[in-house]
Amino acid sequence: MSVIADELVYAVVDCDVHHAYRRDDFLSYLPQQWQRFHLPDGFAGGFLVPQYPQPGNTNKRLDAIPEVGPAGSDYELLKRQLLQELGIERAVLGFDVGFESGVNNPHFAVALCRASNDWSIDHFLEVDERLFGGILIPTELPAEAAAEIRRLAHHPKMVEILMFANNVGRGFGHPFYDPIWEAAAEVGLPIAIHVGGDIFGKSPANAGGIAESRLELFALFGQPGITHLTTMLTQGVFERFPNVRVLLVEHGFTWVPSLLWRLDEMLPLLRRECPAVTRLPSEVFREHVRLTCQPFQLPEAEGDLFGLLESFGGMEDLLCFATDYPHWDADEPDFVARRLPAAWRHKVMAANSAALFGWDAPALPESR
Amino acid sequence: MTVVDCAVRINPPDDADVARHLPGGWRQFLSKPNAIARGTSATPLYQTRPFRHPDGDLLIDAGNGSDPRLLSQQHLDRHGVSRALLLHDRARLAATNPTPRLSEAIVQATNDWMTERWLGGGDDRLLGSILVPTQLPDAAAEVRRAGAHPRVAAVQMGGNAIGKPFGHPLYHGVYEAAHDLGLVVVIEAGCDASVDTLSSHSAASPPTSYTEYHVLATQSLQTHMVSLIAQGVFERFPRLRVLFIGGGLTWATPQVWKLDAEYHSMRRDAPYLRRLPSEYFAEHVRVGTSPIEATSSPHIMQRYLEAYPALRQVLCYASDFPSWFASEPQAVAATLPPTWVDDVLSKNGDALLQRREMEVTS
Repeated sequence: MSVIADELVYAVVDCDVHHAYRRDDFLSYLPQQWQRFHLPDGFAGGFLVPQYPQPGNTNKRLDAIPEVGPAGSDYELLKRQLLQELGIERAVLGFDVGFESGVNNPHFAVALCRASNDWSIDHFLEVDERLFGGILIPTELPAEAAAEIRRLAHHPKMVEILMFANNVGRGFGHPFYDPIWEAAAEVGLPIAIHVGGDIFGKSPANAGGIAESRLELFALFGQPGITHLTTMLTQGVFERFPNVRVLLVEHGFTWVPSLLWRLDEMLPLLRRECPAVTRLPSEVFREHVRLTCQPFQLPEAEGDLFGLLESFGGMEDLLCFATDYPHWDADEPDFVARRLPAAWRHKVMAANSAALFGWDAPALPESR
Repeated sequence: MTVVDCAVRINPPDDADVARHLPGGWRQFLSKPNAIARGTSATPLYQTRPFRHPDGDLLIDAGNGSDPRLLSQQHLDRHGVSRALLLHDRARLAATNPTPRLSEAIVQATNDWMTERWLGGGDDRLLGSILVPTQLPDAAAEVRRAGAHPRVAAVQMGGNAIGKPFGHPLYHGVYEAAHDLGLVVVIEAGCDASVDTLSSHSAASPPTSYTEYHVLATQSLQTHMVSLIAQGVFERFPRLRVLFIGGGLTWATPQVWKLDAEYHSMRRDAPYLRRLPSEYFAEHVRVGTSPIEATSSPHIMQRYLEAYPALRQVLCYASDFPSWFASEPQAVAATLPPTWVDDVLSKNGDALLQRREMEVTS
């Protein structure tokens, strides 16, 4: 166990913040024909997510809900609670959480994504130099998704592509999604995949049957992302598109050794099944994939998280801090920083993200 | 030190060997008398697995897992195995046969075939598993019928016939019967990978290659483990033990830790629990070692395993002989912290396979 200093000094980049629109601010960004499909309490022809009960019927911290609008919709409140109180240097905003891209009607999804991105630029990204964003894409129509990437990739505040909804029951590495990888490679932006895009009922949210409670759903949350990542490695996506990187957001990370060891040992057969694969999956993974570390959970039972991670090695180069503000289970920077080995701290809290987004490595502040 | 092996795969040499145990009506329904199994007039008894290793799912010269003598020569004698739990291989999806009463008939015939062919031969090392017709409300009756045989040690859940995680109340009747008879419940990788299952082998997408099928097979096990614990199965059946086969050494640690962490905040979703999920895991769940994950040095796996000390009592050697990924005891021992070897290769399996019948008090 490392000695925890009384005063830690570190820079912070936050890779996962959920901003949200007030409906009144948003509607004008939608074409007229779609505006009435955006109902006050949902979408006509929208989508459904499983109806597991949750306390207060919200997944947000209650004090982050402003007087008007949903949590994450009030810039002043977000600025105070996230940027100022937590000392965040830069935050990447990813909507709440991109459900618009997965509505049942893919044409509506296209319109919603465009509107979301335009709204985001006006209401958040160009309002504060510390705020950056991702291009939300309508994944069910990959050609349209590619077009949206190309439309906005050169905006200086757009630093990633938000690939969220899986409405077709295929991993994101499957050739179905190739137009998205092509566009990402062309524009040179990383693809951020937030957890949860498989719970619309069109793709299994987990193996083995529908989870019986929110507890089980959350315990199994990492499964779709693991499948998506597996398909990227089994389809040779990073060998075909070598300048694309992926950020897995909120999928967990303790599963990394287990998955990559298994993939590595299958390489001889994998190369027979997919000619595009030539390299060891774990090497490709270390080069091309990053993972956010929220929720940062230590074992409740007797267990050694860092011993497990060290058996795989190099996780200090792969993990990126994120709060997940304003969810109820958000991580505060100090909570994570105090539990990291000292040698990991600057990398995980800021430098890995900075490198991913092409920023200069943030300087350590003199004081916090 | 003798070795206890919690997973050896068995197959009938041909369907006809099992069909002999079917009632005449079903036998006629499936085939003509004297028809050649897999001939033009015979319907195969068992579903084909959707993903098969191109070089063969089973080791080439192991007789398809159908010959007790080859099992002895090639594995039990050679490796000093004192007890082995037999698990059905090709037959394991039988409960998911879409015709419900046919699934029951095939399950029963398979169980009868197994007890006759494998448990009656005088080899005391062999313990049997029985399949269960889980589509049917009276599935527990088969547990009590076929499970009465003194050399049956386990209930092999096989294919997920209900399409729900295995902790779902629809499965509890089977667990009650297994609990009463002191039988281990076995859940295995691939149980959700049949065209006849409503459930999925993997999240997000079905596998599109054997590699994906093999690598993602742990997801089923994770779902079922989480479900069994969260649904309070181990509170309801306090002596029940569940053995997970076919996921290897490393899948459980992250999942148990995750479940504990989420339980910390979502306790109200699991009102049946009185202890941490990890406590139920340590006491009631056992994990077969195969297929062991390859690491570039054994110290790497040792370090991984030592990160969760509870595994010392949880891991049970499972060769999965004669699967293509079968592992010999020495190979497994090399991956373990040295002080764990005796527990994992022998003691844990020995304790697990002790049949502990409930005393019925009036």
